[in-house]
Amino acid sequence: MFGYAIRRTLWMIPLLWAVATVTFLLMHAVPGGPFASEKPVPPAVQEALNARYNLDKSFLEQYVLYFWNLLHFDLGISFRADTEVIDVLEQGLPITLQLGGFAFLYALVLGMSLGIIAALNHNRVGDYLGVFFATIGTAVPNFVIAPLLILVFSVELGWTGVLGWGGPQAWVWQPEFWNPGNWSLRTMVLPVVSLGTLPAAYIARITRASVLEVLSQDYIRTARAKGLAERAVILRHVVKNSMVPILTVLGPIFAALVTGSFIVEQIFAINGVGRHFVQAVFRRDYELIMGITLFYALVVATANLVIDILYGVVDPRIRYR
Amino acid sequence: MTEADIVFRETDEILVSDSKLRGLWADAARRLMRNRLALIALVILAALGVLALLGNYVDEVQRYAPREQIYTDRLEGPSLDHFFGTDHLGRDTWARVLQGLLISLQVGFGVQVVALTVGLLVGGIAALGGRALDNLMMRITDLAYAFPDLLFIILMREALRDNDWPIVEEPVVQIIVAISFVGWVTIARLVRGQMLSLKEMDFVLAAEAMGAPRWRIVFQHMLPNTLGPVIVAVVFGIPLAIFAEAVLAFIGIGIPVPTASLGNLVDNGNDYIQQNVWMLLFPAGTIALLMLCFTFLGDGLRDALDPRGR
Repeated sequence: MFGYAIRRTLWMIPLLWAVATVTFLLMHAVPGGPFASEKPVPPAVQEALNARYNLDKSFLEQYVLYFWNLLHFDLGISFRADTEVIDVLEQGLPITLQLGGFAFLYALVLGMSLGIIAALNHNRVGDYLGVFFATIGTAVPNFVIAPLLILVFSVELGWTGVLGWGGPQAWVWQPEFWNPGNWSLRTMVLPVVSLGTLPAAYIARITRASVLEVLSQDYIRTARAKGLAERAVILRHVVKNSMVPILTVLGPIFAALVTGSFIVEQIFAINGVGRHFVQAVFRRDYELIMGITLFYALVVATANLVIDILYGVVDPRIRYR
Repeated sequence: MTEADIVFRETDEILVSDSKLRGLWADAARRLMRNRLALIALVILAALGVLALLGNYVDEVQRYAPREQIYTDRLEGPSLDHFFGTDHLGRDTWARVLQGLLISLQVGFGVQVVALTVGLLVGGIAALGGRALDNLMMRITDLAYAFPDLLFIILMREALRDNDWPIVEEPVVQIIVAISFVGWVTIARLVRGQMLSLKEMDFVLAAEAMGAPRWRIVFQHMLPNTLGPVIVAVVFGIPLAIFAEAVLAFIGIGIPVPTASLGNLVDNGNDYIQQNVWMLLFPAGTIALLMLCFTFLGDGLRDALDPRGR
């Protein structure tokens, strides 16, 4: 399994390179450069700008140069404010990851509890409530849910903030992260709920189906027949055995939450990476686009890898080759 | 999220003795008709489709031109005159929602047509074309799978938008191409997996033993047997494509205004949420209804087409 993990990790390198290459091609296929739409500047200034950002070089030279710099962990410069791409990521990433992480936790806890409760109350009230939520949840995308939540909870009731993100701009390992004074629940609830509800509904559907499947297995009847307490049956046998299908979707869901947060970031004016990406595309901010895409591809690949490894932990029958 | 799981299971009765008399598809259709939710979803979708067509080409249904601005009737709520109210420029929301509905449906189906074509080709070549081709195709699929979907759709849309490339001049076509760019992966993987396992099946062996030509085995015996899961994936893919179009519209690079799409209607409604909440509620409700119906239909189709997966 260790060898498998290493092989998969190494495989990520060519994968990321390929993603970066496709992005590079696409990006340069977008007409207009970063300075095309601005008011005309003197040719000398234009030349200086192009030279500063390597735009005077040929396409191939730019490509080689980018990857050469990348090998030295240099992500380049964002054209807009002449800041290092790494600084923009440093600023936006903690926020995006916090938002995605909390939304993931919310989706996981809510989705799994609802799914389990629904399955244990099969064809009774609890089931119908869970299924109702799971159905409505899958039908309302985050850009629909967010304005509605704002309308009800911020505008009408005034319970929550409307703009921004309530978390500190700090990584998990920094002390600021652990200071409760830096967190404001009021400006966190709505973005998290907007982002996490659809995946929560999705997880609830899968959990319910999976638990129902496990409940009908012979070993559950055996566990009950030997007089095991119902609680132990549920926790030790049912929940654990119903994890595999849920795990399958958790990787893509986590990736989708982190990479798909830009709509929520846009609506709530949260200064995360997603918002930077959308603006970067419009501004033709080449190196920022590359930097963010690479990071996102890394998140997707890592999430898939972690899930593949977790399979073996949950289901020992799975062998890695 | 095409592999959403079964929530709604009506008490499924399969009449095994009957099914011998019918073909695979007739049997599936029968099972689908038994599933009340899927049937309702199908009826609603058909009604929405007809409504979208009538609402764009028949004046009596459309009532107002989607672009017509009546400055005296701005930001109105629903009334007998304006069924869904009016927007900030005095345009009739009913007419605009119908226009957006048609575009959303075009995008949803268009993307799936492209995704199905590419997916069947790539998956089929991978499964039947020998080891080297299989490896190549699967590496390409892995690559497309590693793309953060929405971001690539945005990039692709930007690349298509301002270039004068032939064929993809229409904004709707551009959006369809952009979304299909990452949308075919699921189908390709499904088709490959199905075909690989079918290749080893006894009935394929039997057909080979009887001297059937290869094309006949592929098209007559294998293809129909892969279609079940593929159809389900396609139906689940439609709301995803509609969602992606709405996201593009929401950040301002969808269908160019003043043409309405459900996404830019929600975006507008969001801006005027305090003045006229109906501007948000009707397009948002339409999106929700579409997604709900396609999900139910997909669930029903899966139950109907795959009697083993219970």
